[in-house]
Amino acid sequence: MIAARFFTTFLIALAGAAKLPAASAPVGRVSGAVRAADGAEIAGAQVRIEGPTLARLENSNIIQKVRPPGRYQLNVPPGSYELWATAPDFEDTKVTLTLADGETLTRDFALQPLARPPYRVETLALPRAMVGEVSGVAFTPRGTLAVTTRRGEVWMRAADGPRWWRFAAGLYEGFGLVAESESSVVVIQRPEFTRLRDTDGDGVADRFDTLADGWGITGSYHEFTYGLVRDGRGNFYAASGMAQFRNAGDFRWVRGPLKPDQFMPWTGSGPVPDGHRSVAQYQGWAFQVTPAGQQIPFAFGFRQPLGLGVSPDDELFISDCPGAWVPTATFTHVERDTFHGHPDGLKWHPELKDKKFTPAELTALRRPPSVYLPRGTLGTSPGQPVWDTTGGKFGPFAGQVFMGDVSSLIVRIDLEKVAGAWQGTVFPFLRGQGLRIGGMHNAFGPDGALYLGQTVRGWMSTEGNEGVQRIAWTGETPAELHTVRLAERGFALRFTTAMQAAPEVAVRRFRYLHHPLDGSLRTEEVAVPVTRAALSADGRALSLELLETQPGYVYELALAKSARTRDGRALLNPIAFYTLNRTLAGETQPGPTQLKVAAAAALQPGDVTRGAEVYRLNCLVCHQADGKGAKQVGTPDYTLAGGPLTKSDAELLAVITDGKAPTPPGVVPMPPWGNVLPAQSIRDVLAYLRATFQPAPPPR
Amino acid sequence: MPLRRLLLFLAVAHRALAAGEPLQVAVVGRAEPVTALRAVLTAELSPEAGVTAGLTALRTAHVAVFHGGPGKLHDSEVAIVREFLSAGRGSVVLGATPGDWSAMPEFFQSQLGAEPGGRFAGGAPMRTISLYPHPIHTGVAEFDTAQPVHRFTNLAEDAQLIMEGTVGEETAPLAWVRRRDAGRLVHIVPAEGATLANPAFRRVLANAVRWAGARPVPGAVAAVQRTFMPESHPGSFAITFPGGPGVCLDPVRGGINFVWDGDFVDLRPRWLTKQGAPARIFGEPFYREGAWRPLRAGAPGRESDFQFRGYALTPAGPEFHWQIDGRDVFEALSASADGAVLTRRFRVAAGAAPLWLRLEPQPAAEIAVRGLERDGELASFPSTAAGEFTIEIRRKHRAPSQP
Repeated sequence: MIAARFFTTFLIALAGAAKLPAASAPVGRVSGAVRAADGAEIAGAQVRIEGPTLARLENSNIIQKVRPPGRYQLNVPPGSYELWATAPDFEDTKVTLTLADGETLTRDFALQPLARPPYRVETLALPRAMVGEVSGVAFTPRGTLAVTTRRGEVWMRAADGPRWWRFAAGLYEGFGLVAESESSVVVIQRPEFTRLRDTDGDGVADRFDTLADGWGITGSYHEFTYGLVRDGRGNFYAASGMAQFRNAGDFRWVRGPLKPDQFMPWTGSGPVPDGHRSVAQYQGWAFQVTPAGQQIPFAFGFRQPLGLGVSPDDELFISDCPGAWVPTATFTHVERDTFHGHPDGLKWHPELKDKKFTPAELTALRRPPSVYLPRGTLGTSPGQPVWDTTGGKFGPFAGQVFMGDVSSLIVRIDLEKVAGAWQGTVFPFLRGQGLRIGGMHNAFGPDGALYLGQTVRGWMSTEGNEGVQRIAWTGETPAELHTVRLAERGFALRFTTAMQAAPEVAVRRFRYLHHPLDGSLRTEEVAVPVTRAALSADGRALSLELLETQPGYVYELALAKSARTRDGRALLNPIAFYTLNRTLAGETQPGPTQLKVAAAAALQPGDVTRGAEVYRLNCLVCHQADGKGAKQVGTPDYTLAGGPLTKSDAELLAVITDGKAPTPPGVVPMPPWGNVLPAQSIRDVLAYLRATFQPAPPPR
Repeated sequence: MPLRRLLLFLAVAHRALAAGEPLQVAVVGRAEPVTALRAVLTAELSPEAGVTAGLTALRTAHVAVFHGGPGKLHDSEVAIVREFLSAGRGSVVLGATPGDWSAMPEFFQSQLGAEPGGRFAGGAPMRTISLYPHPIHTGVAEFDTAQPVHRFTNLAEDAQLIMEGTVGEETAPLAWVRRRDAGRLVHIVPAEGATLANPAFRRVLANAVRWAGARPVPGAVAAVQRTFMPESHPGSFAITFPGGPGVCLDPVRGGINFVWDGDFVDLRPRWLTKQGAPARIFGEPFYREGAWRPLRAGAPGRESDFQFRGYALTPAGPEFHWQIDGRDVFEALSASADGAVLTRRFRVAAGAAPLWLRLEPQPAAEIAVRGLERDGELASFPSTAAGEFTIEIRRKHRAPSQP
């Protein structure tokens, strides 16, 4: 669920807040102020720093609270970073910086207030006896709100008022539910699906019937069982996340077989970057339980499938949390026997468990996410998706998907079926206005409001502010991008309200790497020129033609903040990300591109000075200051005639980017740095290698 | 336990448990709350208890209720209190303060098992008040108080927290119990002003007096909680009967992993941190088993298809449902009032083959069976027709007490 990343984040953040480490550990410091643009202090502000040097850790960013009077200080290894300042009701603001060992930088932020969307965020009062770790939210057909809590309780709240009662207790971490009636709910708890029934009419469950329990559990704190949803045919769906692996000896009491070894062993240097592993049966799988009670292992390849949702068309979608093999948060259409990227769950597949996969074969097997949710702007760990079936009670987004996040954010997703497969656009929807963190489960109520269940437990500080919030539309039409749909030569954008003029749109495209490192940076990022933009006569549709529209990329559409509606309003969220897996013609592989040339041209020639610093920070330990390598590691001697530097630039760039298996007697593989170092840095370091160690001119 | 105290304890306990004899309760403390408390206890406990105010009532009381504490005392009065506190009788302490125990400053460490501190959360009212499963909370769905409370820290190892308050992310113990040779003790922190008139408080107080006096709490039922227990598969059941014992039932292994001499399981290790830890039990196990799938069909050496199908909660205790090679087996657990005997009553549907049970030797418990054919460590239910059988687990002797 909420991934283990947050714990590590917390620890690193603590370390970041402490004094500088001993001189032997390279470190730089960045500090400064975070205030509102008018100079006022901001409550609840945070800074988040992310960059390649952190991407190799289980966590790839550090989040720190801004402390009174609006100050922060971060100690991090030398490197290049993006530093974000965020606060409820303020726009996220980012700066980029490069820190050298021992360097101290100051970066101050002046945050601009967010425009307030026409949605109210209300907090439901909870009974005194209810610990507000709300892990599941549902409504009965009669409108009674039912919630699960991580303390193993089920509470109900009367449809006609604020009266709560405890329907059940004693469960093992209920994590979601389907509320069949006021006397019957089905709960997913760690070890099983259970139907809870009140058979004597006293409002309290007295029968707990096990519906399915056919998956492994180990007792790892981080092996959550996610769900629960039911489709129109009565099938239930849930999913099992991977356990946090330290060593096999931790697992003494395992239900079912134990397989602690990785399906695809980590071959890079250092520890395994992501400790999540499918050690017990069907961890990383989604299950279906039929009305007859048969449990079917349904789909596989998940890491932490936090959110499950069934669309109005009875199709299953699951959100997953970034880490190894999941480059950023994803939202994916799931069907029986589909594979979703993380190979460790393959060890439980009856036919594939003994097959040796290459990364290319994994890619071929993997169903791509319907929508990627770029980290930061679109959250970190997404929750449960729900479809707006309120018939307009929640605003102008009928049929679209709303999803909470462990950060205080709700995102909106618009799906379209292109050449037979779902893909679409994610938009920020709501943050600020008192929206709390930990919103992992949600449901639309009979009043048309979105009810968000929130729990964090130890991942981040909440000051006790967990429970249930109600998001209600005020009735005013929000000024928003309504949809972004794929068109023949670009995208067709629709707005919720008429625009004054065609907004300027900056389009970029990039993709992510599905690899064993913990998440992925954007790769192959490039601006995509807009060749034509035409606003419809009614001001609500914008036709955008691009220089080219290739599959296999995420397209970022950033609308100019100066864009105004005809009634003079700015767009609330002028950004969208479209995941283009398939073109309208059904193509899934990119063809020849003009932008590739442009992208390459955008890179500067390698810079020796910058490359020296990259080498010092990243390469020196194995390759040594003199470039002669280390015998115990097996790194080559760059200075030898006929050595590695006799290879072409393209070959060497490929090795640095993609890594290389060890050449005997070497034992340590060259790790892939493409995830860790920006392409320019790789060029820089190659320039440094050539300038410093090159024994002879490279071949032409 | 010194012989004198043991004899005194036995005498008091015998008297208290004699059929129909009222529990004698002494209320001690400052005059005004004592008067109110006496009225509350009389109303709540009559006719099962007689309530008397004043220090001298301690001489004959089974249970003392101290509001704050006894206050300033002469040496002779200190002797009365010390005698009471060491005699194996019950104490219910309400909002202990150092000033009220100034004559016996050792009270906090030796009796209460906690150190008093300043105001919790600056006196802010609780956002959440968690009632952890315990017979003292019988009949109480929610405990509410706006009263500022003192913070108590460094709870003794054997202090079992049963009520906890939360303000923000800070928690404070609001009530705990101790079971020691020197007598049972309950401490309820919020007990001032309007709290005394709170129906939930009155019920908790009355139940606390009963529990401290080793009397059954009317309406108390077994608490059933699935969690991660020590030496058990995750998702095992902690079942604690009001008078004991505690039972760890492991639905993966298919049996009772251990039974302990106690009435409480502390789930906070599992709940209060992100990583969590197995729940903590209070008391010593007197029964253990570990054989894989001790209940089988057909033959004892043949592993059966084994399914856990759920459970039901009844006033007598939980009833678990197993399917063994498709044959429905229902296992109801109940306990004697003193917690010394755990009864496993099995209802068996008709099936294709006999059932077999493995009964592991128990150094600290006696195993008796009814309706089974026993042969050493094995017992069989040979009939393929529906039927019943019972296994009784009787503690041989009380496990070593907490210090």
